[in-house]
Amino acid sequence: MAFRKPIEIFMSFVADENMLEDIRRSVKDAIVDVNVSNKERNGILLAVEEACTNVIRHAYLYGPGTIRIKLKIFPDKIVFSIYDKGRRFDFNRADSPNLDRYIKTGRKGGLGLYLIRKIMDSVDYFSRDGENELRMVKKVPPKKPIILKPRGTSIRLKFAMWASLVVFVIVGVIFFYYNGRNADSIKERFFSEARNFANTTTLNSADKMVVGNELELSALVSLALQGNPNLKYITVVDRNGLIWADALRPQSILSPYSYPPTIDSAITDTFQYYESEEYGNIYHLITDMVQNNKKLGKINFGFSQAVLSNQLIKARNVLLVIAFLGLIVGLGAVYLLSYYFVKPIQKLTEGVLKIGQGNLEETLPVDGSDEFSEIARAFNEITLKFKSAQANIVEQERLQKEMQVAQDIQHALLPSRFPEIEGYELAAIYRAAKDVGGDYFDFVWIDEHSLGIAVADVSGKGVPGSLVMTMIRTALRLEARDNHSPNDILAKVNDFVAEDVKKGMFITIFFMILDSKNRQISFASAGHNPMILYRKDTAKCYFLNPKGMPLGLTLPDDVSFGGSIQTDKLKLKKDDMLVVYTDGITEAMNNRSEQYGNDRLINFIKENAHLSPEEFATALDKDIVQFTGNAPQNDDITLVVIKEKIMVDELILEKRKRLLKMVEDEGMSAEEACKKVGVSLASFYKYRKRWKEHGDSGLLNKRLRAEASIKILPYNTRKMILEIIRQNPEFGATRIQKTLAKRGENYSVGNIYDELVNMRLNTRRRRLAYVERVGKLKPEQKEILEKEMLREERKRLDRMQYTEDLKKNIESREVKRITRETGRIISQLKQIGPAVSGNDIYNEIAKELEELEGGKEIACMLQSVVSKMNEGLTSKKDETSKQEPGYKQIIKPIKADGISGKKIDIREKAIKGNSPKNVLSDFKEYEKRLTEKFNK
Amino acid sequence: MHKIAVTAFKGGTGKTTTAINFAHALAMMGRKTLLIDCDAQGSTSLAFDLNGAQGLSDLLLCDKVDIYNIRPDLYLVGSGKSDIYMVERYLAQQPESEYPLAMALNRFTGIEIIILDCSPSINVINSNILYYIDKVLLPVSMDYFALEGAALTLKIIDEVTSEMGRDIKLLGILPTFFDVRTRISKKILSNLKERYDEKVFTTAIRVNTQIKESQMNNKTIFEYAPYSNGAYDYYHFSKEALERLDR
Repeated sequence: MAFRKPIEIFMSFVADENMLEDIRRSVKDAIVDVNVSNKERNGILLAVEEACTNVIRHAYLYGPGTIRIKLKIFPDKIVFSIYDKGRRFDFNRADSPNLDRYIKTGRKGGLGLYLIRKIMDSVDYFSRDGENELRMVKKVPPKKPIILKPRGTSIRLKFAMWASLVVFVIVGVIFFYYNGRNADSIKERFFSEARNFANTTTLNSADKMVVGNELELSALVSLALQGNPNLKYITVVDRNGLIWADALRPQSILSPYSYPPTIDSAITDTFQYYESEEYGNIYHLITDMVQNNKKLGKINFGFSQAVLSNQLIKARNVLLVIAFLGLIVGLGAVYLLSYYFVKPIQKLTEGVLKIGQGNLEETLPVDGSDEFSEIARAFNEITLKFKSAQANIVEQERLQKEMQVAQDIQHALLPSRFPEIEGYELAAIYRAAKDVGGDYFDFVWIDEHSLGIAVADVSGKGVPGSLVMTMIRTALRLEARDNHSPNDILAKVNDFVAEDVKKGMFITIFFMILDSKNRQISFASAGHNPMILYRKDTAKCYFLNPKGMPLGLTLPDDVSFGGSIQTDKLKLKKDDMLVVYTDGITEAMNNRSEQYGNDRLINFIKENAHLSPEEFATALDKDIVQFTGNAPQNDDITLVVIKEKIMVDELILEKRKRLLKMVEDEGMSAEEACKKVGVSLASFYKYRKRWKEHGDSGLLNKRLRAEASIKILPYNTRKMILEIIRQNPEFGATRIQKTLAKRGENYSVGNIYDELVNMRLNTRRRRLAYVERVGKLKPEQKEILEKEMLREERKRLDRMQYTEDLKKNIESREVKRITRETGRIISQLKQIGPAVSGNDIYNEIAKELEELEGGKEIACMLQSVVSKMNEGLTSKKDETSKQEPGYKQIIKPIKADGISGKKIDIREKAIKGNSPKNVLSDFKEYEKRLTEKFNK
Repeated sequence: MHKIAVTAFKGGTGKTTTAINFAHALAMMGRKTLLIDCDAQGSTSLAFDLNGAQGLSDLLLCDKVDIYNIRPDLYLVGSGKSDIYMVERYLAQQPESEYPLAMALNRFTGIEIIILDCSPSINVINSNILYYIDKVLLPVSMDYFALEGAALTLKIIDEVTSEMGRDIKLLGILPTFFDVRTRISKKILSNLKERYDEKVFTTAIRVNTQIKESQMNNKTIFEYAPYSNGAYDYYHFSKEALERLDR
């Protein structure tokens, strides 16, 4: 029997008598499934309530507290534990009260424990670690297990009944049939014997009759009667109906014969049955005596049926016994057979019931190859499928939950308010697709005037995606502080998250910094789709797409994230608009599988750029919804819209005027004012001078006109360029520029060339390859393409050759360098010479040299040089030390580590010198003598 | 490891002399001692004839220092050849200007006792020193100004250390330049003892010309005149101080 863990239920209540109702209700709910009678149930609840009341009253007499109730439901008992942290209750003193006394005194209360003890099977009280426990146990009859008695018995019964019936019928039929046949043959024999006898007697009698020999006739009939036990009477009657002989009544001769009742005298040779009082049941036979064709008379035989009946009965009984035995055998067989056949059904039923109860692990035995095993097999299959279906459902639910969690995480991370930054107006739209938590946008303050805006799209869905977003959000907030370089921030974020991003997952992110002081926007993109700039004055849209790889990719060794991402800058003029988005917008699909696409977006922007960011965002969202219709949203839609509110020039003007006002009118010191406004002192003087000369207009800075730092061409222009290339791939930047100019698009060749570089179509070969890819290559152009490719190949080979030559060059250069270095070191050595010991210096030099290529050989050379120098040095040193015996020679410098923080072990670093021989070499001796001297 | 600063804000009380001889005595008694010259005047370095060696100021500014094993178990770090003014400026510029010296000196290991010879001024280096050390040895010469100076020194040390949250014990007050012939010496000594009771060492270093001579000869008193009064006084004082240290 499997061991089932007890069900544990915990409840906590304020120790207040008002809570008793709740306690009772809660406990009632908890034990609803327990197999107790209603009376017992109420008893339990009463006991628990009493116990709680006691605890509440006694334990927490002096102040409030909480009581905890724990129920442990075992199959055969329930354990109630009531915990409190209050006064201890002296359990043993409260014993069973004297009921009589109770009744007499009518005392209320105090019966609690008595009651509890009565109802519960055991009551105990424990007090440990400041917590008291009142434990009550109620035994519960275990729930009768479901008797899995298969109802095969009823089938068995039915089968047995019907089979028995059949047996009965068969046996009965057989019995009756044979009985009948027996009876017939017995009867047949009887009658044929009787008839034969009658005939014989008749013949004999006829003989006697003819001669008129009545005496012999009588003797004959008497003999006949005696001889045949079946015969009851025999009477010979003549033609006149007069008795000639009567075996029974011989004296009745010559009296008329009275036929027995119901006997027809005319019927002869046929047995006629009648019942007589005298003789019993008789078969009456009349035979004709005929001699020489003369009817002499009739003979009446009376055959007794009794013998026949007996015979019949006997025969029947025998048959009956046989039939009975046969019945028994048959029934026995039926019984056994029924068992044998019904057992498989039984087993199946048992198994099915068990499975039906929820025990999906049960499999039905499959033995044999009859229909039962088929059923068993089929059922096992069903069970398996059901199990896996269940597992599926559980899994699905889990996934759903996971998605929900992912969504929740996602939503919690997104900013709820738009920050306010001077001079810019912001709005954003975020619409998450179902089950997907891939997009993310955030606002991060770099410093007090710069706001960073991030829009990101993670490639993986579900919880991993959301977690990665959390990391990125954290990393951004960490790295962005006081960092004004978007590409640097993104590189640092990449370092932060690169290891943790799963293989195959990556994040694209567009990050820009709005600098409200300098009115400049710098931005970088890590593989994200471009940002769209709308310029009010040209009414054109520009795609801004700085280089950069997505975050979280494992890069090959020679490629670094930081090296491949760049920051671009731009300045907006009033009413210019920036749109940062994720591909959820451009890839939004409608029912006809059309995408919203770049063109539609561009057009929308052009038409609605006059709106405020808030209105614009709402309108774009509506437009997307209209476009997609009721097709499901399959990717998140994120959009951030930024609009430049003020005229840069105006702001500058204001600032400078304010500066002057502060100094001139308010009397602030120039330094202070400059500090406040963020302008240098020199600039202040410059402005003041200009203002004095030209007034307000002098304060404007002509160079501050928003630079078209965008060398990027508008979107439509780029489309045109591609078209031109497709038609004429041999056109370079110059000719493209001319073609564009003809169409009214005026740009510089440089701009166009840069754009070509951006599009990687700056060489003829690339353009040809592009046209080939697009499928519009004309045959003659194909030749050109091939020629180009050959040229490239040759260039590459040349380059390789060049690199090899260079390498050789470098080697020889290296050697020269090493030689030079060595020379330098040696000359240095000569300078330092006297103060150093050769070994130290040599080690250092050798170390340095070893790092140079080919330095090892030179290091060895140096060794010999230096050791020679050493000899010279030491000899020199000996001379000096001989001059002044003192402490100079003891002094040995110890070089310390130049690296901060490293421990300097003095004993290790020190080089022991020779101490001079003096009185102090033996301190103890000195001590003794000194104290001797002074203590005299 | 004991870190003792020999300090007094009054000049000429015998700090350097005490530091040198105390350090040597400790070394002779078997304790590995490091003597650091924290005085811009560089007297300690001079006493051992250390010229132009890289010392404390270099350690603070360029992270380089030369440690000299001048006697058995006795090591010396000079004041350094970097401009001391630079050091002051450098320290003052640090956001937390009391730590650099402590951080630098904390790197020394393998030493039992470190003795710092301080300059008689209230400057950034000295407050750095106060941040680093745990005991103060206060030499007081037997004259009125030194006596009052001692009170001032102790008061300032108290203030500064309580500001920095340090717990610095006064190892003791050492009477120096005790002239047995003069009444003033005795008077000052008794005043000292009155005020500071048991903090004052029982040994008073007597005036002894040989002490000054020893310095010029780049020797300690124990080497120059081992049986002189000075030697005995310093020996006796060192024993007493060591006893207090070991307590």
